[in-house]
Amino acid sequence: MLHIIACCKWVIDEVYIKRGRGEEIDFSSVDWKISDYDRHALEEAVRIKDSLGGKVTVLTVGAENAVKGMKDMLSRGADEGCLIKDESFARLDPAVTADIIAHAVKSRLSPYDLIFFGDGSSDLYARQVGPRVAAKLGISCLTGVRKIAFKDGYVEAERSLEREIEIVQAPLPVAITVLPEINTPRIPGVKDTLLASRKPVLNLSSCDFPDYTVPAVRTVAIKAVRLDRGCVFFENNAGGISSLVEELKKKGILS
Amino acid sequence: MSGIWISSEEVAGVGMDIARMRGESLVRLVWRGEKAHISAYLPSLIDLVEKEKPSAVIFPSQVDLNDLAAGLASALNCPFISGCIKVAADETGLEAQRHIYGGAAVQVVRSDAWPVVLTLVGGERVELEGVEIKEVFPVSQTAVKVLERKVKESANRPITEAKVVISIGRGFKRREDIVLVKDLAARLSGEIGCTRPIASELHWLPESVCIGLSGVQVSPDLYLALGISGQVQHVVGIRGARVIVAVNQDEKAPIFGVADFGIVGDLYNFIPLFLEALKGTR
Repeated sequence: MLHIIACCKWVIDEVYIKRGRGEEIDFSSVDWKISDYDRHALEEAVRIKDSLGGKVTVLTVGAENAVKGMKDMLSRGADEGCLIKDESFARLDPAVTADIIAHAVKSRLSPYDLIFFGDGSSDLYARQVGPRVAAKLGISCLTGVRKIAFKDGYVEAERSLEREIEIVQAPLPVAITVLPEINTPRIPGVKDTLLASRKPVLNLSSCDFPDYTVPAVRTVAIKAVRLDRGCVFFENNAGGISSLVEELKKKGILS
Repeated sequence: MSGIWISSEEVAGVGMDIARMRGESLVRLVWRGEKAHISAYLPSLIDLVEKEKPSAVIFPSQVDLNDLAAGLASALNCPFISGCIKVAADETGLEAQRHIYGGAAVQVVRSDAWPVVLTLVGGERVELEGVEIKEVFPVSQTAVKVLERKVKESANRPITEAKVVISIGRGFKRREDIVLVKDLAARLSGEIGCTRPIASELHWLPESVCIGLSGVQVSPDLYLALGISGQVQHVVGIRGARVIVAVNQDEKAPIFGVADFGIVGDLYNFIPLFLEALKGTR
């Protein structure tokens, strides 16, 4: 019986982020979602459980609105949830998030065999939490994983590096961070959503954790990226396209 | 504390700046031994850093080195700022910029504690001479064993160096249609790039030419986006382009919001017309 933990982050959907005045970001109409790569992490956990048997616990750390996130996560095939929620957990440094997850896993979710993460989050993309949790727990971490198989009690994984594919073998327990090409996440149906609210959830808050030192890294500003180049349009016909070519000549790109 | 350590010359530019600001020397790490899983290097790197106490350890933002950086920061219980696009040291600490929200925003972070671990995206390579070297050796036993390594299929010329990049997205209906782009690339002496789905889901092109936040970032003179909707994760990879031309059937496609020139229409009509218009140009 495998115990598989999938860690998911509830994040602002960047599609709804608009540039406000100047460099400000307009968060007024944002929606939230499960971080993209984390959906693949949860899907992989559920697929392994379905083929080898066991239990999937989905874990999230966040502020009040993570309650909604947990329900979404539970509708995607996890058996149980671990919701670590506190107002002070809204914008955590990845180092602190990792400490919290490692503490929860050690004290409340052990024994475990596999811990899945997305390779990076849709909001911060710091790519730190997976390897840091593994380091805290003293287990191996396989990052950038695009394929997994099980052989003789070992995990065999394909890691996608910059110029190579590295095939590695690791004993359990192990932490794995996945790339999106590993699978296609399911879309939960109405029944899955209804069932989700009946699944057991372990609720934890800041009082269940030791005081973590205030991270030495602090965010001093978040600025919207200005990308607008004032697009000039041309018709998709011979006349329009020769005008485009003329413009490219003016810019010194063609001669 | 002493020394600004860099893992390779790829990140020497930032390393030199920080070293100068702090009046410290630059030290380059040299990786010895047979290539093992990256975790093999962590114990000796931790030992070395604990003994010699550098102020900063700087790596390029790569899969393995990011692991090493995270493991090192965890062992030292020190700040780790990953994926920096800009770093500047001052009297008390350092300020770094990094992309967040898929590239829609830039996060400015400060760290006033040393040591600090950094990974850099697109760091400036500087050839170093006479710089002090520290050797890092792998341990012989690791829990993770490498069974095999395969070189990924990749472009002949790195796309990051191309003057013209023609990039394809989901607007292409069939894999065979890439031949149309090859003609165009040959005509413009350009390289072909693509979006994440074309490389990772459809496998039409190698990942080495996948452009965006999780791929390569390019800054050609001309970036021609064909059938690309322009999700922010892709767009962040082309911000350095001098001129961006976008062709898309959907006039509301976000790619037009970041382009200099746009054509709303069918790319299958555009390509032959564009080739025709290029006659007589050099």
